[in-house]
Amino acid sequence: MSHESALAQPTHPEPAEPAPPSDARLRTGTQAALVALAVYVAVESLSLGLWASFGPGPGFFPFVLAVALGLLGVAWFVQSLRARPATGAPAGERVEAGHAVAVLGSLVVLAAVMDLLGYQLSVFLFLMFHLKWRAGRGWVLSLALALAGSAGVFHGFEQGLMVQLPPSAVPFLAGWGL
Amino acid sequence: MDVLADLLGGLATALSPQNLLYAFIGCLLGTLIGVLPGIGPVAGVALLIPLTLNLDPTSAIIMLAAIFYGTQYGGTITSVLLNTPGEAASAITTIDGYAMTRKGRAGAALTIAALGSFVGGTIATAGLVVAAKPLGDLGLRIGPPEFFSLMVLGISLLVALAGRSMTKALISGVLGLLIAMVGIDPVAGAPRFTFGSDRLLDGISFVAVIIGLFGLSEILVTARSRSAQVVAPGLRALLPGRDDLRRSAPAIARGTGIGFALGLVPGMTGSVSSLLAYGAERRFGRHRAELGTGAVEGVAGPETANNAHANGALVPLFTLGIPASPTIAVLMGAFLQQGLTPGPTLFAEHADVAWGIIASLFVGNVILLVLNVPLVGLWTSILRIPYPVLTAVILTFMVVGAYTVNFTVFDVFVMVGFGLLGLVLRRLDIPLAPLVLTLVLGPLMERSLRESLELSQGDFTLFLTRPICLVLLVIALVIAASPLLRLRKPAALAEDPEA
Amino acid sequence: MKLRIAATAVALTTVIAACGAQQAGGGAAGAWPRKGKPITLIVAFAPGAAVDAAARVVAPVLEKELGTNVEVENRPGAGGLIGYTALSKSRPDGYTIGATSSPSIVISPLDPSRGATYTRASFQPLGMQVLDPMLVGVAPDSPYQNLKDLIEAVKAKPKSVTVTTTGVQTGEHFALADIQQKTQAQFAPVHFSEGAASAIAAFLGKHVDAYVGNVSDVKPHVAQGKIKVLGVMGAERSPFLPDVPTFAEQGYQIDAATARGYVAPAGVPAEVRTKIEAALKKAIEDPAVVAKMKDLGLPTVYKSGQDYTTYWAGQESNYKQALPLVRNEKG
Repeated sequence: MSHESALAQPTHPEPAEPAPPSDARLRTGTQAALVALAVYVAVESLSLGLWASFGPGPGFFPFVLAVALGLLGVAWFVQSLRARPATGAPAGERVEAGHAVAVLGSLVVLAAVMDLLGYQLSVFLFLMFHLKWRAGRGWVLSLALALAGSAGVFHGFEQGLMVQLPPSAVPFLAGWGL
Repeated sequence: MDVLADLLGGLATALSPQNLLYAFIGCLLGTLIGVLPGIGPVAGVALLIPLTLNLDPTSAIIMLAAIFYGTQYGGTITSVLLNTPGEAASAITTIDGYAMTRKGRAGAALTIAALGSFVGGTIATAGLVVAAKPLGDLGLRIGPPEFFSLMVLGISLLVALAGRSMTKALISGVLGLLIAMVGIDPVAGAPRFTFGSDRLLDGISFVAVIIGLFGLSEILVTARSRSAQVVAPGLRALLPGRDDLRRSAPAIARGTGIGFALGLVPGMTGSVSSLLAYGAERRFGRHRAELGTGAVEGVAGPETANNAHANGALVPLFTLGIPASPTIAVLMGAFLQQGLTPGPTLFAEHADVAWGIIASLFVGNVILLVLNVPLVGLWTSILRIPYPVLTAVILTFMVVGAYTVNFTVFDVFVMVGFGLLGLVLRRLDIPLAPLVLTLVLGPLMERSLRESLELSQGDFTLFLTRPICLVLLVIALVIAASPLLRLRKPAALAEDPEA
Repeated sequence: MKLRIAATAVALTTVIAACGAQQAGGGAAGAWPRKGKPITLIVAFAPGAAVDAAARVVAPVLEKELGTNVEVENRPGAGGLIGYTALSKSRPDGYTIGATSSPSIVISPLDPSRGATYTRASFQPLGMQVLDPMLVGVAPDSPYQNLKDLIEAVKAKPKSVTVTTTGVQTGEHFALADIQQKTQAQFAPVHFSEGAASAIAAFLGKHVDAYVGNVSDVKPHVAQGKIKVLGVMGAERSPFLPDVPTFAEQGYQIDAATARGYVAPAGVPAEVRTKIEAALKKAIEDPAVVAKMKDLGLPTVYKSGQDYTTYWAGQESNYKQALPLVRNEKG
């Protein structure tokens, strides 16, 4: 049958091209990161104790895993060196950097301010950012959806499910029910 | 036969218009809650319990059971349509479920999931009715050492989950195990890799991880410039074809067996069943080479196992009064609040209530099917929403979902972090499934190993002297070694240089 | 023109801020609780857990007594640590209280490796609701007929009897350490960190020789004759198990129980505290609440804030004594 992505994950229908250099950089960087992680975990787990009275101590499995990870990272590196001359291995999925940054960045900001400004205000701003700015929708739709997603969801959860989403920590805003 | 008479009596109760209505509302509400990523069955049932407190015990439990089913199916909907698992047990469904959606076959996927759930759930409930007591006792035979052996068997299936590259699959698996190590270790009860944060004392929130790893990474990977949205299916494509049904049958059978069997074991969660069912498809399915690209077995197997497990988990509850999983524990709390004590005494003292509940389990399964198959069109129409708008909405729900697991913003950060990780892994063609497998099984494995060794006072040979353990470990060995032995080679490994 | 707009804006903002500040800031205790301002009841455990169930049973009555909403907020995690930390950090104005369960609230600050930022002094007990004593049980067909048989057997052969706990440094573990200190009997604990349910399952499956846990955990199993309870670790016999003698009656001075109650962060004004305590007393002793708790298998034993404090102090000194033993036990 098709030897295409056997089990990895749904691949997007992009044409297979030779892997661009940024791919190789990412790959090598990741391999290095894995090995670094392995070293860190191995060292930490030694201090946790490898063997306890009856069997593996807290540090045993992390140590074994760290060693395994390190070896696998190296193995992967060696494999990619050997495979390089061949027509670029089927690349993973393409990524649009700008989009990824916008999404991740906005999420980080949202999470950072949510406790301070409260759920409603932060999510409202978040949605407006994505709907109006990124997606370029009209004002009416954006405002409507932003309000529904912020205030609507907040009250829905509070009244319907009795689940409290974060209220604002700023007293002045909290006084407004935000 | 007494049992039949009791059951019919119970059916009369369950089918009263009032109770039918409650069951219907319960399914609907449960599904709606389940659709919200992050609010899985446990929280969903717990949140909706207050609604049932004013009802009489039978009706209350009927509604709760319906909510229970509903939340599970809701989690499936988001897995299939949005690649965002609503709860742990639906994580593995995202792989083939979402692939089917991308091929325009979302409707078929959802319908097969509903069908499989129905079959699995009904057979499991039948098992409950017919052989509850012996099955309950059987479940008790699984002690910590047997549990550990089962986990080892589960992890050995990781080998089966490997795609082109065994190295990458192993890296994924090891990463999952390492993530699972964060938290309080089961040995000394001391914090491990928590960097002094008390948030991490419980480990990294699994739901936040899978929302990020699957759902967020999907959004990140999808180019904004993609104006053509995921193919919204035409009416014909809403239903599975005959081919689909034929192929699903064996998967459903396997899923039922695996789910029900594991449901009997206290401590086993639904996600284990769905993972192992997927692994089984990967190992034994006829069309296993297609798994990952939208093979219907990849949805049928896990979803059936999931539901069979949930119903099977009711066996220990009814026969022994032991809640086999957190969700059942919540359900049990609801029982207790209604003045009912689950266990054999329930049948002795409140037989009519007990049978009414059991009958409603059957009815609940039917309602789930009847409710959701027509609604498949409604659910899939979500896909018609312009993608950028849909993205914004999904992101919001993912944030809410991640937050409501533990009521902390920390988990939102976890979700973001794992979204980034998912992005990197997908870019590098490292499979996600092994990570999920080990993340779920790892902690269970370490804990049961520790318990086993405390039982034997440090004697490792107990795994070889207890018969069930020995059998399970041998099977695990065979599965793990099978690619090397080339017994039944998973197709895609053929051209791969082994690590 | 612009100046006027600016001035109006500033004035408006100030007024709003003042309103907000007044509402959020502490009102006079006499006006407590302010109408419409809800009280948050922090539960450090997951929805559906025993502590949560009890809190949700009490909350509606509290609402009636205090005349304002009482909202249960779940902050699960780390065996209660997360919720307790949140409670200790919240403002002592009476609008935030919490549900606590010992031993977790007592033990967690004692062990430095847990990294708790609070101590007993961070909380002001308001009232105790449940006193759930521990017990020791064995299989119905086991050779041990009473506590003495079991303890003597274990003394003769240390570590020959495996017994369940719900985790390292949990109440059960401390109870076992206490037994060891007082009787020299060394059991072999098997820690089921998943919880009482998995401990019971292992016991019923005959993988473990003896069970140590709360009365509420085993009540249904006693009724079915699946467990033979040899002794209850309480000051008096449990109303749910009237035929089972206490440890004290059999000659062993062991008193171990799970105590659940409600506390506020330290520093709440006296009048506010009195109001809450009175309302809590009403709620806890309310017959409907007591009945519901009984259904849950939890015996209601009311202790006022003062008595709860004393009890808590007693527990702490007990646990402090046993702590080194428990820490040596681990690993």
